[in-house]
Amino acid sequence: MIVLAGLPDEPPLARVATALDDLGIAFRMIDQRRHADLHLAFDPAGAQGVLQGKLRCAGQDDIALEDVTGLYQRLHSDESFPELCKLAPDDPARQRFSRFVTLFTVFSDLCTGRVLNRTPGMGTNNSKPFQAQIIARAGFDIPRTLITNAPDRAREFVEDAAAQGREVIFKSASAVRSIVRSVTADDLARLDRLRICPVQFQERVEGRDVRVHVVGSEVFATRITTTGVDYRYASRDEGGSTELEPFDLPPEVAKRAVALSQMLELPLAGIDLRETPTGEWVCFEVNPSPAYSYYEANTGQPISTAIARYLAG
Amino acid sequence: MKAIDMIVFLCSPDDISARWFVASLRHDHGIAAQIITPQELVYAPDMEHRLDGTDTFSSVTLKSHGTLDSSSITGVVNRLEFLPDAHLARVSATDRAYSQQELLAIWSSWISALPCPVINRPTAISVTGPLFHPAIWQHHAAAAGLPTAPMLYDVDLPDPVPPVPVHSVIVCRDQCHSTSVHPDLFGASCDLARYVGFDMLEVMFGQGPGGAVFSHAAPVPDLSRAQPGLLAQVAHIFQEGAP
Repeated sequence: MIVLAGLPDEPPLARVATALDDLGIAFRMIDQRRHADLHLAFDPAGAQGVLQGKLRCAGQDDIALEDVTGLYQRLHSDESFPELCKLAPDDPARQRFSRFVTLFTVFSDLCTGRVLNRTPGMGTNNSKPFQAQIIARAGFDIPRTLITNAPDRAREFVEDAAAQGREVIFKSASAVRSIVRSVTADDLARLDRLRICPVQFQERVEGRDVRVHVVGSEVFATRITTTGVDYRYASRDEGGSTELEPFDLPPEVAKRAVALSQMLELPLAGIDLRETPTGEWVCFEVNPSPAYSYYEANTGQPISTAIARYLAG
Repeated sequence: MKAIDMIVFLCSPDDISARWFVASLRHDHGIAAQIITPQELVYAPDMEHRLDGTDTFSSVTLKSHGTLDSSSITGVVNRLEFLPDAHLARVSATDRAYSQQELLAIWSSWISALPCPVINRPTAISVTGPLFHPAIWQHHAAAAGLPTAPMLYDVDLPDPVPPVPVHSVIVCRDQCHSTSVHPDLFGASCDLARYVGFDMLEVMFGQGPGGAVFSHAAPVPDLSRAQPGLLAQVAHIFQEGAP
């Protein structure tokens, strides 16, 4: 049995549901909005190392957890549900919701079927420099990076880059989303603030952005042409724009992308690459829960169909 | 300032068992390990972490020990369980939460990048190493072949309480050290540690109707329960530079 879990109308989940329907593959949708109707119980030790338990949604047949062969989950925290946000943090309904998410995540980590994605793989994006070390071992170039709390070291890094005609950007080292920004003269004047928490600086890499989605062993590359430093936010700038188009990745780079997703234990991965003018492929990071639907909607690349096929095995 | 060669125990200032272990390493094996606390790391006046292709470089200048870097740190026992954030007390709640995430991301990577033997490398989400829900520990223990008590996790019930631990074994890289756990459980305990990705792990057992059953596991073992064999093994790891 294939299970999708999250908000049914969220585009990444909705597109996979449509693809499964189109392929004639049966599945069950676990709608998080019906959280009060959902029940989950299991014995993690189970039988012969296989978790045993039941997932129940009122009015529907129970799902035997050991029968789940494919799982695509995009669960949301209670902050995404206005009716829960109105409640006190210790309200039983809110606590039950969080407990369901926790136990469902445990189930997904222990499920013997195909899971997009499990926690250990998802976690690598919590530390970008940690993930970058794995990216480099997979054979991709990574931006020259300095993380420091010492103003003089940061200044020297920026000046060294400038001497070679390169800009330096700074961005979060954790999974907390940040807008990538170039270091300015104003930033250099407030480097003493590094003392409270080190900051990640990177040499800006010139070139063409390519977002690669890996689904199992299938690869979908999308070229991104943007006016901004960070294409995700380019349209916020006056006159800023971003265009997406399908792109043929060199076979050896596609192979490397699949190998990277396997090293990270992410059968579904969104890999941010940039091809430099001299032909090197630099990888910035790997998104473990990619909103692939944005790229599919703009290019027609059949990513949701690939996910559906992957889940079906 | 020139960096000095050093074996490091990363642990909290009140980690008494680590202090005893470090003193015993010095006394019994002539190994001069130093304790470095998370406060010393996080409040260090100068830290850097560089990534350039597959090359990495980490350094930190501590008030207590001077400058340590990737080449001068020759071995690490990682017993960190948290990173301090007292210096963020006057920062707004949003900025404090952001800084806590950044510190974890940065120091986990910094320690992981060290080329020397590191007993229990951090992961991207935890400075201690892999982080598991008790139900996942229970599953892996059973899968490794350890006896387990029945446990039911139910969204509408409190979490089951594991058996009270009465015995433990400290696993260190495929060797088990215990005077109270039956050697029949050593192989499965080693399998559990290997499967979950810890170099050093204390596996606790409670008493079930038919004998010992898995209770829980701790990646920061109580080293006061360490046997001479564990001291000798850790000394060997650092003397040999075993990866």
